Amino acid sequence: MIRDYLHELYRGVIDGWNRFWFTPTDPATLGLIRILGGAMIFYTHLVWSLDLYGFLGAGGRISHDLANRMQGQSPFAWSYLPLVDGSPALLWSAHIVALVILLMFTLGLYTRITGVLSFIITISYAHRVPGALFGLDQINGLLIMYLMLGAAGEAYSLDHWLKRRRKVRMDGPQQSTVANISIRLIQVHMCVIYLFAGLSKLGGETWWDGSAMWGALANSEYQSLDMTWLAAYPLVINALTQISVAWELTYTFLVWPRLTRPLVIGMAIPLHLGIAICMGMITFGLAMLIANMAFISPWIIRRLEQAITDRLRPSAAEPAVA
Amino acid sequence: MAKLSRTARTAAPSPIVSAPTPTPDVQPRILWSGAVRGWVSILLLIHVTALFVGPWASPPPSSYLSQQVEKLYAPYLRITFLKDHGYRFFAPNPGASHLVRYELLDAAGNQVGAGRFPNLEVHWPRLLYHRHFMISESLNNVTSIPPQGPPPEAPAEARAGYQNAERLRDAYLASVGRYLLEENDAAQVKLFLVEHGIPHPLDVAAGMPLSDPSLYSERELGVYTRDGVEKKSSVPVMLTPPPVKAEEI
Repeated sequence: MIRDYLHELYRGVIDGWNRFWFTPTDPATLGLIRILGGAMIFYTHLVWSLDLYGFLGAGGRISHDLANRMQGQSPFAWSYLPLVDGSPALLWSAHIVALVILLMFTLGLYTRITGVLSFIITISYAHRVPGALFGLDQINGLLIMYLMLGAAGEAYSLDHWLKRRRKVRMDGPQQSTVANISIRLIQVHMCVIYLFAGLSKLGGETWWDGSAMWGALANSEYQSLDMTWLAAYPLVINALTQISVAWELTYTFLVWPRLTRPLVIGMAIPLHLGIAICMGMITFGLAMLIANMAFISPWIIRRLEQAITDRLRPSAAEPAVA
Repeated sequence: MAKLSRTARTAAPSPIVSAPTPTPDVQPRILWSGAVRGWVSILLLIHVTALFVGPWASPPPSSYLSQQVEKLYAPYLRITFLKDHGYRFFAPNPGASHLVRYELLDAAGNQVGAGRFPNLEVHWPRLLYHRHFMISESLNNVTSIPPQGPPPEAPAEARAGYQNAERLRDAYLASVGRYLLEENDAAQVKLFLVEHGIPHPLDVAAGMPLSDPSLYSERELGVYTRDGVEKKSSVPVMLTPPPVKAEEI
C-alpha cells in the first residue's frame, strides 16, 4: 500500500512538474511584458543620464572601492562599467549604446541578442551603484533575466513583423515552451517576493497593531500625495495595514487557483497604484504591476488585441459613404 | 493575427481566469524530449532554490542553516543580481527617513556653501530623487554600527565582521565627501545625517505638519577633505545600538 502511494506520488510530481514547466504556451503575455518591462528598464536607464558621471563615473558618489566593499568584495558582482567610467566621454558613449540596445529590445528588434545584452546592461548598472538601488532595480533585474531566455520576441515585436513582411512561413506551432518557462519563472519569483514581504511584516509590531500604513503614508520623504487626513480615521488605517499584510501572505497560495486568481491580481492594482501615487514610487508600483501581468492568460491578451484590431480596422460590412 | 491559443478556443469560466487544467483534447503536447526536460529541470531546480535562499538568508536575523546554504549559492546569487534581496518592504516596521546635510568649508574651515540630499526641489524626476534618497538611507545603514566592537574573546568571524562594517562606513563617507568636494570645488565638507521621524496620527490630526522641527534630529558624521581623509579623530559614535531598520522598498 505504501509502495503504491509512493509510486502514485512520484508519478504525480513528475507529471505535474512537466505540465507546469514544459507545456507550450502562446507567447502573447511574454510579448506584452517585454514591451512594458522593456520600456520601464529603458526609462530607468534614461534617468541615469541626468547625472551619469555623478552616479556611474569613477569619480562619482560611489567609488570602485566602495562598490566592491558594499558587495562583499565579491568577484561575481560583475559590471563592464568600470572599464569605461574613468572618462566621461567613454562613459557617455557606452551609455548611449546601452540605451539604443534597451530600446531595440523593447521594440523587439533582434530580440534574442538584445535580450541578453539588456540583461548584461541592467545587471552591470546595478552592480556599479549598489547604494542607490531600491525595489525597482530588483524587479527590473527579475524581468530582464526571464525575458532574455529567448521567446520574448515571438509576439508583438518588430522581429515578428519583419518575418511576416518577408513572408517567412510561420505555419509551425504558435506555442512556445520557452515562453512558458519564462512566464512560470516570473510567476514563481513574484510568489517568493510576496511571501517574504508578508512574512517579514509579521515581525513588526506596527503591522500587528495596524498602524504601519500610517508610518508609510506620513513619511514626507516618500510622500507624493498627502494622505495624512487619514489620521482622523484610525480604523481605515488599521484596515489598510492588515488587508495589505493578509494579501501579501496569501498571494503565494491564492494566485494559482483559477477562482481566486482574479481577486488576488485585482487586489494588486489598488495596492501598487497606491504605492505609485501616494508614495512617489510610480516606477516601482508600475514595475510590480507589469510583473504581475505574468498571471494574465495569453488568450485574454489575444482577445484584447482582436478587439483593438477590430476597432481600428474599418468594417467591411460598413456601407461606403456616398 | 496569430492563431488564438488553445485556451482562447476553450469556453472560459471568467475573462481573467486561465485554464490550468485544460481538457485533454485541447491540451498542447509537450514538445521537448525527456532528456532536454531533464537537463532543464536541473537548472530550474537550482534557480528556484536560489530564489528562495536569497530572502531566507538575508537580511539578518537568519538561521545558521540558511546562511550556510546561502554561502553555497553566493556566486550564483551575485551573478544573477539576487544577492541580499530580502524583499522586506517596510518591514519589520516603517521607520524614520534619513537625509544628508552638508556644509562646504574652505581650507580655513569657514563655511562657503551648504546643501542636502535628497531634495525634491532639485532632484527631478522622482526616480532621480529616489536615487539620492537611497544613498542617504544606505549611508544611514552603514554608519549605524555600535560604537564598540565585539570583545577580544568573541569569535574571529564576529570581530572580522565588525571591522568590515567599520571600513565600509569609512569608505562610504570618504567617497561621498570626495564627490561633494569635487562637485562644489570646496576644500572640506562637513557631513550630517538628519533623521526625520514619523509623527503620531493624533498629533497630525491636531494640526502638526510633517515638517515640524521637533521631528528632526541630526548627528555629525565627520569633516572630509578631497583625498577622502577624515579630519576628525573619529566619527561620532552612537550612544545606543541602532534600531532595527526597515528595508527600503
